[in-house]
Amino acid sequence: MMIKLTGGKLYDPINQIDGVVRDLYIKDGKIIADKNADGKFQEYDISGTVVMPGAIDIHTHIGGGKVNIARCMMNNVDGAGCDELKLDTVETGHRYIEMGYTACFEPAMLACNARQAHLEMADTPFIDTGAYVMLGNTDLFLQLLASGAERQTLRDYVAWMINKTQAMAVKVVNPGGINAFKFNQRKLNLDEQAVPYHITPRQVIENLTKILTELHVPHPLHVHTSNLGVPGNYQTTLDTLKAAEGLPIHLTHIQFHSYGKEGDEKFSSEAARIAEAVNADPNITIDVGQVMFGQTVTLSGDTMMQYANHSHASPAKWTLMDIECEAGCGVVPFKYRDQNFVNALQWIIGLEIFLLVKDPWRVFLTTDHPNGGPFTSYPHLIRLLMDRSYRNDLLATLHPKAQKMSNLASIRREYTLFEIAVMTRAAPARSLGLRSKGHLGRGADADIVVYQPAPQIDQMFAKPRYVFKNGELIVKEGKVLTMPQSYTHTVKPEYDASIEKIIKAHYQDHRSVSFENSQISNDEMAELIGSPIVEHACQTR
Amino acid sequence: MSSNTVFEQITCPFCALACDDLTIKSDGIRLMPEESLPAFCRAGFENAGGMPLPTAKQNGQSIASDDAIRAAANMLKQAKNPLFSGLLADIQGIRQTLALARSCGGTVDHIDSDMSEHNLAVLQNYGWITATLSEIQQRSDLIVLIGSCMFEDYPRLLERIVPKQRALEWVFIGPESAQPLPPELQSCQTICLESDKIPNYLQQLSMAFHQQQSKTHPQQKSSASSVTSLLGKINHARYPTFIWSAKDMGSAHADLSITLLVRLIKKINEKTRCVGLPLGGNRGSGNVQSTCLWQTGYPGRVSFAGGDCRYDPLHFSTEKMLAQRATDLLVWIAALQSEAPPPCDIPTIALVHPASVADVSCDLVIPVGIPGIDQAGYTYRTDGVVILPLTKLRSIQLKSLPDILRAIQTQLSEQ
Repeated sequence: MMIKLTGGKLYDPINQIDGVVRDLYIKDGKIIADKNADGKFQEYDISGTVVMPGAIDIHTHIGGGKVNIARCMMNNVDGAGCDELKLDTVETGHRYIEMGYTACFEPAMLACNARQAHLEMADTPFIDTGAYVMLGNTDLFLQLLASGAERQTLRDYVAWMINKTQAMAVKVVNPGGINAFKFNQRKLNLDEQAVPYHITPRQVIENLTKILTELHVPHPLHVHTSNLGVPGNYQTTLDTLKAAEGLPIHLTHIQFHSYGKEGDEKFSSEAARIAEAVNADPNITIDVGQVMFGQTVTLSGDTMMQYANHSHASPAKWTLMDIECEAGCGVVPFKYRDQNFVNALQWIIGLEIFLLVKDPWRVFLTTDHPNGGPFTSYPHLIRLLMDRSYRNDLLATLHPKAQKMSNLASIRREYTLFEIAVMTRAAPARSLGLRSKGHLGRGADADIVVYQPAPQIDQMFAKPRYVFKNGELIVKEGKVLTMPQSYTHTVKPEYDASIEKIIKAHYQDHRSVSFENSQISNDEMAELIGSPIVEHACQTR
Repeated sequence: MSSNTVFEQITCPFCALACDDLTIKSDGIRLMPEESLPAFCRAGFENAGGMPLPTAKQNGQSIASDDAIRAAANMLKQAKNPLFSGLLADIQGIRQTLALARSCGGTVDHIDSDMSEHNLAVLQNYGWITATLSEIQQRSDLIVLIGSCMFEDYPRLLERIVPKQRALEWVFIGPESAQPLPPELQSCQTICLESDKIPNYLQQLSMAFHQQQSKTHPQQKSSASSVTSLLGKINHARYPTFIWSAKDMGSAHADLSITLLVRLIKKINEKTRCVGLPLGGNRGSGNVQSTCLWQTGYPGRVSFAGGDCRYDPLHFSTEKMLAQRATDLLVWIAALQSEAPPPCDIPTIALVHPASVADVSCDLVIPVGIPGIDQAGYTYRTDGVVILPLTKLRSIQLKSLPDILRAIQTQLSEQ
């Protein structure tokens, strides 16, 4: 049975459609051209609605061991938990699909924990998922780099890891720093040598950006750079952008990396300088990691910085792990308070970046869920971007000193619906290389969200009237109707199989899992994990 | 599957070390593990039953598998508060158990929840600093083992953490009864303590460590020379590692001991690195804890009664619920090992290991395949990061626990 959606106003940036009333036709889960629309179809009259492709969250911590630690620490019976902070997979899937999100990407998958991450995401109903494998702190990669291994060897290693962990992209977190922390190094700047391998974070970034470009992996290196949260870290961030030497690079939760150290409190906004650097180079993309006030929990692979920040834990409990000669994780609960100077300025800095970066194709809407705040706050965040008076009213309630440190009140920009559609749909799809998602053109997956305009824009984004996924009506008027099969999105860059000798030897000497059992096959994804893969082409965007 | 197949790189599902270097011969029914494996692990493969093929029983009478599934669905339909207990299963079994419990308003509780609760309570209330097996094997230069049963419960523990080409200092804290220690530990510092003395000892050790860190307090002579000696070793080490098993900490004092330990580990980290490894997860408890955490946000002992998911580690205990008649149907799950349901006077469905069908008598007994022998699946490793794949090693005509639970759920939704 075909489906016809009649009379909706479409926002489809990839096809340059900005609020045009046009009918949509769906057949076999895909959007088809009008001229093919012969025969019978079920019609939905959606006159007066706003129609967008399914939203895509490019950076949200929804699966893996660190999330399980966070769930355990935040949901005990002493009341330290938080109703708004739903971290379990079932609730996560429901909340995402109810807001019109149809694909979400876990940015910090450890190779040794990949099975768990994929199992958790497979148990996250409704939404498609994918993950970025974390490299740049594994002993093997650092040893290869330190020993001057040829680029080809490093490239084969990276491609092998992407393939065998069923990843969509590569992330690096505090390059070299997580490893160095295991050897008791407590801080690491971009050009500082990390013990014990004497490599610098810059070397890691340079190599990985080049390798991913050479492998034609669509999404550029996803970088959580050094010095997260440190006042004055904006310089590290600017230097990191330069370390890519003009190649594509994505800086994640950049809000946490845009701090100056001016003023009485030695903490200030450098959002303008960061935005200027982003604006100047079309190869740079960012996501913001907006802070939202309230209780949350921060979870990160960056053990070095999570340890440094553990004294801010609220409630006062925290966990760190050193993991499998490969990675680490730190879980620190956090409460962002609007009357706290630093937290208020963090909120301001995030919004400044959103509003000062001119090109919505290169800035993605994230809260780094749950690190800056839960993803359920996206409708509120969208309103902050679209409604200047609402934004300024809220700004006026924050810590007064933080208000004075910012020009946010004078920024007149209000995002349009088209721009919101860019940053939450079209741009993430393009950045990840998801050619059949993020748009409403012919051949697109029929992931479609139908919003009913409401007096306030956040109300509209919070509860769409209809959400279709692969052509199936999943949510109607806020009620979930059915649970479709969901899929895991992957890329499979090519590699020379001789790399397996090196990796196998490393597993034999350093690892507690056999080389064979460290790998996840396509069949395993479908039959045991329960989320069949979709393979996307490795080709230049 | 042909006879006499040799399987390599097989994961052992019988303890939470999840060693994945096993070679197992299979003649299609019987399994022959290597002689060098620990007896406990070998027994898991050798005593897998399956010959003759067990059948389901209702009130002691054999019934067909489909009839058993229908009967189970009927019993669940009539129950107001079903309790899914035992839960000796792999991750695939637990995923499906939770799905069924959610759909019928059940409560879930693992057989060893009381024991798991000690480590969990410390993680929930305080948090800790830990490391995984590879990390410990590669970096530790001092390992302090606390407990007595860990060598029995995790038979290859030392093999998994001993560095291949590096010297390592060991300290053992535990009762006299733990002697003789394994050969690797014969010459290590041994601090003989019964479990009820462990909190006091850890308190002394912590105080001594704090005192040496703090210039405001004069150094006091410690009450035990072993404290001074251990402190010296900790000061000297670059990556000291404390490994404990909550089971060995004595149920009355375990939370206190573990809290003292993780506080000390955190304190040591102010200057140098130091980690812990809380052992746990045997008999499928790690599978329950991890899967339940991701699917519900809670580490077990959850109830879906009334449609919401509630967590109550005190009240959703099998023992209490049976005693207080807070449940009217026990669904006992023991696929990994032979384990009979607790005696009770409420209707009981037992989904059990093929070798234990003859020994279990309750209203309905359904044999299920053993994960890692009869079906592929997953098991969680004790250090809380790695999930290992389990392999199907033989083809007897026995349905898997997930398949049976899924069939019951389908039946239930059609009724």
